[in-house]
Amino acid sequence: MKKIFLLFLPVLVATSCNKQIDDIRPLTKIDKDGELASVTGITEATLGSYLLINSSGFTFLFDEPLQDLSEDRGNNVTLQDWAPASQKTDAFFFRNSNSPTSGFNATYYRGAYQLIVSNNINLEGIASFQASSAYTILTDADKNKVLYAKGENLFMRAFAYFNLVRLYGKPYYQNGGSGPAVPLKTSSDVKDAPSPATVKEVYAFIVKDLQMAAQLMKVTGVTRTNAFATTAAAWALLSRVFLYMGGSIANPDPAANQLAAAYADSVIGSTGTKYALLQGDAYQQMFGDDEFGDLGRSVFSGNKEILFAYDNAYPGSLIGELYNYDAEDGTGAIFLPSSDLLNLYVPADARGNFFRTNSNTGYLETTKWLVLNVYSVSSAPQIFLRMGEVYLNRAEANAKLGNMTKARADLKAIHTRAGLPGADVDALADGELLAAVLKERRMELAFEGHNSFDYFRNGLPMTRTAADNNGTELTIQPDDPKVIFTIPLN
Amino acid sequence: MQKTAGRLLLPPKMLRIMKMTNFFLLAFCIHLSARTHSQEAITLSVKNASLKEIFTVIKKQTGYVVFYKSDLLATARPVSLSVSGMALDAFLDIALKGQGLKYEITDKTIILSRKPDKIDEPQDRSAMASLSGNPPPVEIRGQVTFQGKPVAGASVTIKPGNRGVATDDKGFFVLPEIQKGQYTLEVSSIGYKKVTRVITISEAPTVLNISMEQALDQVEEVVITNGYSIKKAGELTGSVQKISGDDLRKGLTTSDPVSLLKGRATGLYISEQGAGDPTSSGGQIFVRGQSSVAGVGVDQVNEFVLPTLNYGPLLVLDGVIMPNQNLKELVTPQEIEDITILKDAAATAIYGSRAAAGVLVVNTKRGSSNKPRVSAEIKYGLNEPNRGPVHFLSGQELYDRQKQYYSADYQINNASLHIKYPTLQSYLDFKLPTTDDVAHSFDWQKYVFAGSNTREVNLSASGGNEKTKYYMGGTYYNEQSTAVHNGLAKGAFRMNLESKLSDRMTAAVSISGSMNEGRRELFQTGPSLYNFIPWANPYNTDGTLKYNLSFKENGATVKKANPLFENQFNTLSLRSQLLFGSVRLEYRVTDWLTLSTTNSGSLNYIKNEKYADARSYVASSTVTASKGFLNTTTNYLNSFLTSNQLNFHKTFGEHAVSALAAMEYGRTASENMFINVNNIRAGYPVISLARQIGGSADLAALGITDVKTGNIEGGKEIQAVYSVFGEAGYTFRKRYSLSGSVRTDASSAFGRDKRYGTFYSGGAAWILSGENFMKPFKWINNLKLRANYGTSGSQLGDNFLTQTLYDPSYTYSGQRAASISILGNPNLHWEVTKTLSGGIDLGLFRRINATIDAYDRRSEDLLQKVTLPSLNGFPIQWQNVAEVRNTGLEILISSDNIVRKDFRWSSSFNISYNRNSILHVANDSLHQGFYTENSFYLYKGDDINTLKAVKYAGVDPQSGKPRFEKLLFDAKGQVAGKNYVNTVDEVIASGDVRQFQTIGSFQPKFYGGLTNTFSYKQFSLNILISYALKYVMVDNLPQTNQGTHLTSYNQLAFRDNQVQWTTPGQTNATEASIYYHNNTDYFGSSKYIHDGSHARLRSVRLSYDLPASVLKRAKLSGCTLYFSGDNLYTLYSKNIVASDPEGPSVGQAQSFGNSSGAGLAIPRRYVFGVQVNF
Repeated sequence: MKKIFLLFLPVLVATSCNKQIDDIRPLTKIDKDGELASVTGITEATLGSYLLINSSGFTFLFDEPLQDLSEDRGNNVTLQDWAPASQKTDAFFFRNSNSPTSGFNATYYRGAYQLIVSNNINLEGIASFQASSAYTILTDADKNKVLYAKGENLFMRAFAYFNLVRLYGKPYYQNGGSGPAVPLKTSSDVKDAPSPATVKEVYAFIVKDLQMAAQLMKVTGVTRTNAFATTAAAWALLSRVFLYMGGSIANPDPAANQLAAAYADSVIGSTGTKYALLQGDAYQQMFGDDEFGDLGRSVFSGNKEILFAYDNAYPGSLIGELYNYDAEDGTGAIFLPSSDLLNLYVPADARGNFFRTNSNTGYLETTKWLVLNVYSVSSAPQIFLRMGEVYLNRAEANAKLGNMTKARADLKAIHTRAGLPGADVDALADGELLAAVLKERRMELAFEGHNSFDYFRNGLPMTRTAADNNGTELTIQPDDPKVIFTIPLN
Repeated sequence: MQKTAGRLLLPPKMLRIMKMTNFFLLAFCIHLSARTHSQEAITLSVKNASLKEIFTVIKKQTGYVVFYKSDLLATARPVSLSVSGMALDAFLDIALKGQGLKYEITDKTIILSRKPDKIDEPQDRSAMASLSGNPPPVEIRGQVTFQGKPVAGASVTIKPGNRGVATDDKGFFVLPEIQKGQYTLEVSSIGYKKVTRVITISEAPTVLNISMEQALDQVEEVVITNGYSIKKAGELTGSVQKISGDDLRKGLTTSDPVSLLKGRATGLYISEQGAGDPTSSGGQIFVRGQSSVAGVGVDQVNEFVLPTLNYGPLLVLDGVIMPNQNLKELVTPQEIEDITILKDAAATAIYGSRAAAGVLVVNTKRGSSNKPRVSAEIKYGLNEPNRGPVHFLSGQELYDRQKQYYSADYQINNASLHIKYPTLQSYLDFKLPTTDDVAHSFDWQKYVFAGSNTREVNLSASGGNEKTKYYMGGTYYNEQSTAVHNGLAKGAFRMNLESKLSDRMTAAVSISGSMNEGRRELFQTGPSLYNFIPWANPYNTDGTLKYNLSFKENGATVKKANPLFENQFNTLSLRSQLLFGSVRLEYRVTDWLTLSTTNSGSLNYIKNEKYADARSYVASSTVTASKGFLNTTTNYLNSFLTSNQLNFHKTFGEHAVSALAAMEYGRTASENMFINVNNIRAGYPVISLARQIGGSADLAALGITDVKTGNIEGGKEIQAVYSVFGEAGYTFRKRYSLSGSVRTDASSAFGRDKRYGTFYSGGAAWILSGENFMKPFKWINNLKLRANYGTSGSQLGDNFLTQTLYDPSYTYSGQRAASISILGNPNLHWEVTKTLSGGIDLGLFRRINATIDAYDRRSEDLLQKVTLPSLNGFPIQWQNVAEVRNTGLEILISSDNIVRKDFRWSSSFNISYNRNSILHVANDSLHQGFYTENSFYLYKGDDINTLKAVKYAGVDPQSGKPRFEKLLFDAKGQVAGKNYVNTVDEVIASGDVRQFQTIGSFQPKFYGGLTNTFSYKQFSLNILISYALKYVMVDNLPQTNQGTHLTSYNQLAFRDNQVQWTTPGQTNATEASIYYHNNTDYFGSSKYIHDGSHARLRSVRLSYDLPASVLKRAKLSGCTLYFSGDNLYTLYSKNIVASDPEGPSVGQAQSFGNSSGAGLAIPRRYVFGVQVNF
């Protein structure tokens, strides 16, 4: 009897233990199928994608590399220390290093696709949820949440591709956009590895996604602050995308410029009083010295100027260390404002207040990223889209289209807001207008990641004066191969 | 899930087993046998029959029942007699003669009881004698001694007759009633050579004095347990090494038993870079090379998941598989009876899926049936910081160097600098501190490093009788590190009880617990303080502490917390408690079949508190104002394991067969909690006295709504493993052995279909020295050959890597957000290591013992964190792809060099060789290194611990710039030549990973130790030397602090063999010019990678045993005084600046190959101790 029992025992125990093991599931994480099978889950996963825009501590993924590769290749900055190139100053020297070891090229490329694939996973999950029976029984309010989430994912994916194409693809006007850009990966499948698409194809893809996103996010019942994608943000980005497609100054493309102006119209004209150019003190405070949080810049949901910004209130971004010295950390201010830029601001220009002298070092620094900086981390919102840019987009597009009155009006709006006389603009001849718009754009959007692109996309050279380049002037032509990055080796 | 978590610890089927066991227990506690009448007659002829067998015959022949208490026959000796038709009473008289037993027959039952002591039956003697027709017997008395000291518990047997007794405490024995004649007397005791003496017994009582000799050759005596079964050394087919606790304790003073194995165990490479910090988790063990690649190929991109991998071997404590892989937490060195290291497949396969990295079987002390023994020990040690060649500059020296640097800088970058600073002096004035500040410099090294002490108290008691044995012990250990604010206090106790419930049933209960209280500095960790700028003086001129440090550095004012001020209030406390208990019941079904169940549980509670007081700078500085901050993390782990087995052991003539069949089910649940609060009343680090939830930065004060996320977190996880396994062994003529085992494990770590892993082994052993043809070689007293092959696995550290998972605990802009934490791979399965192993055990001249082992281990389907192409979005995914091979040789030689009456010298030397190579990795390459500047690839054929780097090629004599080799490749990809360039970046700018050249491996090719023991009269001297050869390490301290970061950190002085370039044409420079040295990032180059080969005088211990005469007067049974010195001297390369060349551990990708001497080196320690036995 005993022996029979012993024979059966392992079988009995095996069955019971197997069942116990089956019952074990992750307790603090949710599996993919579970997460993307509910309205709450889809919303959470979508919001989770935003987190990929921020750099997470010490692995520079998206925001700091993007800022560095965009702004620091221009002529708004000079170096504090002229030692040989390091990862953060590599872009400044136009080394465009392909190695993963110097420069942000490889890091940024990987970070961008992480955002893209994350959006792809969400979009696939949303599609299968929409096809399921669970979706059909949802209330309209819940369906709208799903549609909005889909719009956000499309927006973020387009946003990521736009940044990729302007870093890895030659300016749109060159060779009619037929050059190679980056692969258009539209799924989450590990086996899906397309070859790079052309610049034109990537732009077309971005436009399509953004247009659909703008429509989807019009659904009622979902309210989002300007820290999230919205229809207005999609329009503002479309306006910029078409501006980039709008040809060189020598040979502008009217169709694209018309659309650039039209989407700017949509933002300015169709959003009621939700967005506006901030004026006076409100504008001053938007970019003022907020090192100790007195201006409250880190909380920006009430800021009507901002269409879309990444919320860095907590835990903050490393972008601050690029421009501001931090005595607590003993580091920072890798880049200082160039004398070339500083010379553009006349004493009356309110934007001249967006600089301050750091008492610890004596350096003049930009205050645009100076929000609650501590240990090199800044809580400044990373403003991707704001009304000031939208006006300047429209001014530039109209100037290229020859609509000088409209262009003049928008330029004046920005110029006078800075406390400068409107007469400056009135005094300009039509032929001088486009250059003035671009100059205003450089001054208005300094340190916001536009500087180098605004030269190259327009077929203009970027020139750094000798004083800003350790004694030797530097000029980069828009067709210089160094203008774009090559896709990094894996 | 809640329901599951709260369910019974025992699965229902297990409960049934327990009930059955209870039934057996009841049934066999009372012994029933049937039997007869006193008039009945017995006919019988037996040789060496047990009384039990005799009673069976009585029952058969007469039907009479014998009643006796279960323990009564425990000491009964076998009986040889031949009778025919003898009356029952007379028969019993003979059978029980000299057994100290008496009987009563009433109502067809025989009741057996113990005779009162000292009452003999002389009147019976003649009757007995006449009955068997022999003359009256006499008594043999005697004493057994070793070097004049009594040997207690020795067994004294006399043949023919096979009667035996054990010696008492004083070594005396009495063999009564021996008939006249010639006998062979055998005296044996473990640890001594057997004494055989032929004696002739005449009429007179005989008195014998027998002196024993210590056994040199105990190969046959050694009994090895693998945790499930016990085997004699001769039956083993696998490679095992057993080290006694007593030997281990003759080494260092430490709380980490792993440290004690270093230099003694073959095949175990132990890296203990953290040993200088008593709160660290202890040494890391690699058994026969690294057989895993997980944690090695860490990509530079963000980590979505870092499995909690442990590289160490599986730990088995008193037969129970531990959920915890840190030996330091499980057991104190004092409690260890012995440690057995299982290395190859034959030894480890029984542990199946978890044994690929070897198994350590640790047994704690047990009681014995001797008289109670109480032991007390007190130790006091002085710890002295071990700084090696590390020396930092004084304020003036640093000032001078900075001045040189800025002058060179001004000259080189004059174009940009002269605009703002028209003269060099104006630039220097901007960059450098005032001479007054420099004059008031502070030596941070003196603050950081200081002598401290180690105290230890041990108390234990053990004893028992033939039924119950006990061991109780307690330890208090307090070690302060040689760095500021770092120490550990540990208390531990253990109780092991073993009781024979009946002669078939044994119960063993173990309970142990330990409490650890550690402390560290809150933010700065001591050793990193030494690079503080010297003119950052923590004191005001009036001698009071500054609230914070504010000093000039590189032209800028730096504000930092003042560690001296902060340490008054702020702490990081590390607390852990471990409670472990097990109950083992063993039931002997028959003489050859045993059923046993071991059920154990452990509770582990860990609580770490970080407290920043409101009065301190970090908790009240302007921006991070939190007015006091307390972070509490707790981890709670409980585990349960039931192990049930059936052991079979039977000998048929010359055949011995053993087997076991078993099942195990184990479940480990862990929970953790994380709480941040701030705004705490100064001096009250209590969660309840905080006014709000929040981190070290008070976001609420800044208008940012504080969120739960990141401030209050908690999680749990459950893992379970179910296993069925068996083992069988066969030995013929005690010379030829075969063994085999098989185990199937099912783990919750894998997906349902891939859950099962089956592992097996087979082995053979042949004792040549037992063969006749070996008889002529008398000098070979033992020669044994072993060989085996088998598989074992290793388990994934983390659960659920098979599924893509979202972590929903994030927020973005105040909204809940879920982020993908793992990109799942549903095809993940077990790793498997296939081992072919062979060995020779050799004994020569009865003085030298050698063990030689060779192995070839192939680890396949290794989990590799595969770097996916950037396009996949998710940088890494775990896949079963890699294959690694370890081959090696181990030699252990121990010898008694000199054995004299008063003097004895014995040595033990061991050397292990291991060669590791990658056989296969995903994408044919394994990305190595965390930081982009130091990322290289490993390929097929490379050692898994290879360090590759851009080769440093010295200083350019003309320019003073550093030079690095840039390889040139021809069209076929062959190296066609090389160029020299001045930065690492230029070498690797094209992204060509071939530019990283192999510099070496950070695990040694050879390692081992040498122990010498000298004893002279009452003195004994133990010297342990450990060594590791042929490995490289990154000397990261000079890499960051010697010439580089000149403007922001204090600098290490150059060693005598280092020369900095100053003049064009200079060829003897080892360091680039001051400007280029400071502006060169050497990270990723070979400049600071050096050969770390070293030999270390690890411990020297001199002890003195008080002589017996003194002990007698003091009424003690033993007293030892000793003095020991730990880590007295280390011999290593002059090129290394670090204070210690200890090799790095693995798994922390950020610090690949880094030296430990950059931080806190293992201190030198002088210990005085007294041990007293009562």
